[in-house]
Amino acid sequence: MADLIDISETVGLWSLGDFKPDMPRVSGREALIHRLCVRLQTPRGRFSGVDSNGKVWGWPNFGTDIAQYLLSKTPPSAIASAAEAECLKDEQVEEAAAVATLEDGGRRMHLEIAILDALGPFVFTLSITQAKLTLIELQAA
Amino acid sequence: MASINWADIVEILHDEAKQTCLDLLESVGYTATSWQEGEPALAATELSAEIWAQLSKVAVYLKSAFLNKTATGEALTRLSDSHYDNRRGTSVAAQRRTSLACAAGSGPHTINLGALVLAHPDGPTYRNIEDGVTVYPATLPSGGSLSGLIFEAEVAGAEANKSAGSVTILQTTLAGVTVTSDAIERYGTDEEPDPTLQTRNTTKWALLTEFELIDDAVRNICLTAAGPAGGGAITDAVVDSSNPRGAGTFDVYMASALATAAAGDITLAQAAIDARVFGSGATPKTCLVFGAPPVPLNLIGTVYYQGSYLETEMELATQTALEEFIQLIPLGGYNFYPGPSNVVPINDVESVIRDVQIGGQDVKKTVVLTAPADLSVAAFGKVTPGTFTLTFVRVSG
Repeated sequence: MADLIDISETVGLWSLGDFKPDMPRVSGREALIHRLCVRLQTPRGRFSGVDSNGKVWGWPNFGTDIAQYLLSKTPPSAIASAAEAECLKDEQVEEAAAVATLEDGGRRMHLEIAILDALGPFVFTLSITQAKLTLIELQAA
Repeated sequence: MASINWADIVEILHDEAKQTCLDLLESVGYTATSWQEGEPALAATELSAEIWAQLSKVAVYLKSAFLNKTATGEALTRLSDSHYDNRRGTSVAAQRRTSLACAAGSGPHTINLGALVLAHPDGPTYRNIEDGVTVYPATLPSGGSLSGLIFEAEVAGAEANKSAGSVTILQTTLAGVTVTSDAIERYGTDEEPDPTLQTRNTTKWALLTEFELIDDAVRNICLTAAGPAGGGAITDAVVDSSNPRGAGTFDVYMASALATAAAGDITLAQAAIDARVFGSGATPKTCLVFGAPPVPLNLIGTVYYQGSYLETEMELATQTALEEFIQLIPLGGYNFYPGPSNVVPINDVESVIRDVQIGGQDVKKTVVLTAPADLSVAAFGKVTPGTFTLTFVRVSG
């Protein structure tokens, strides 16, 4: 599925941090990272519901709110696995490997994610607190 | 400006709304087929569809909420209050009059008001309340007894109506104490059902007449006096105004949801009618109130079904569905003039069993009734739940 269109042609809207009034466009790998960041801060099932006929609408399996693991007893390896599994749901992601590091007594998390897409590998790093998720670094692997 | 017709106000499902949004986008050049999960544009489309779907529910609700025939639940309660000055009859809690005894080697026990709970094996629980005689805290002496205690159902409604002598489980732990007698002090009734309140609303107009009572006025008087609004359990009343006992006479037949009228309810209705009718002092009275002749619906048969549900679940769901169906049967059964009259078609009963759902889910099934025949209902008769000898057989798919 990953090669149906060139990754550089995929576009999306800026999805990191606050809403931007000019709604800037992002494309290619940057759009992919934005989509992954949205996934990693959306609670599972938040964007879904059941209509009057009992049919499920939306994306019931979309999202893993990584911030839920702050101040929990979940080991970093399990957090990393959850992040990897969520990233792999995006059809442009071919492989994912994550390393989670808890800081400040579990109040902050450093999440380094290595992704392989059709253009090759890259790594991005997130800082996660209860309040927000921040992309702090993006580098080609 | 485009006008909206009555038939246009219907519920739109999420997927229907979403497809319309996508069609509109496509009509202006957006091909939305390549969007994938998480795309902001697709998310906006999904949100728009959901808002539309939810608003369509509101529109349909508003469409039905202010018409007596279609309003239900709280909307009907408020409509009845504001437009017809009718208040929905509230549910009444059942009460028991009970005696307790304490074994010689146990006690004495001090019993506080509201501290004792009795239970029926089916689940309803009852708590002791003031009975006007017992002084709380009361002492149950060792080897002695306390009588005349009144226990009230903790949940109001007909569900707590149990036969005398059956509420004997002492849920509160008191060593050596047993229930020695249990009698019905007061029957519990459910909240006035929607159809009864709708009938009271409709027939209230008939009370405006100042000259003579007409059928609808009589129905209204009976339902108001002996229905939940008046502390009774009557949910339906019909009038035989064909001079049944000679010129100028008329009779009323009443029933509750699943049974004919109780004697107390008949007394309530008769008193209310007497106050409005000439000839109430004559013997016999011009108008007499009766309980509708009960006509039990008995069923024997087998229900073959697919699925993982237990036979007991199927039996309970079927019993509930049949009782709901029976509540809707008019007194005297259905009339299909010029076809059969005073009947309940057996096909309708089979359909009810076939359409039984569990937890909102359809259950595929085949219904085979033994000697199926339409139920013949006596004039003004009340169809009641009879003996349902139904065998449920689970078959693999």
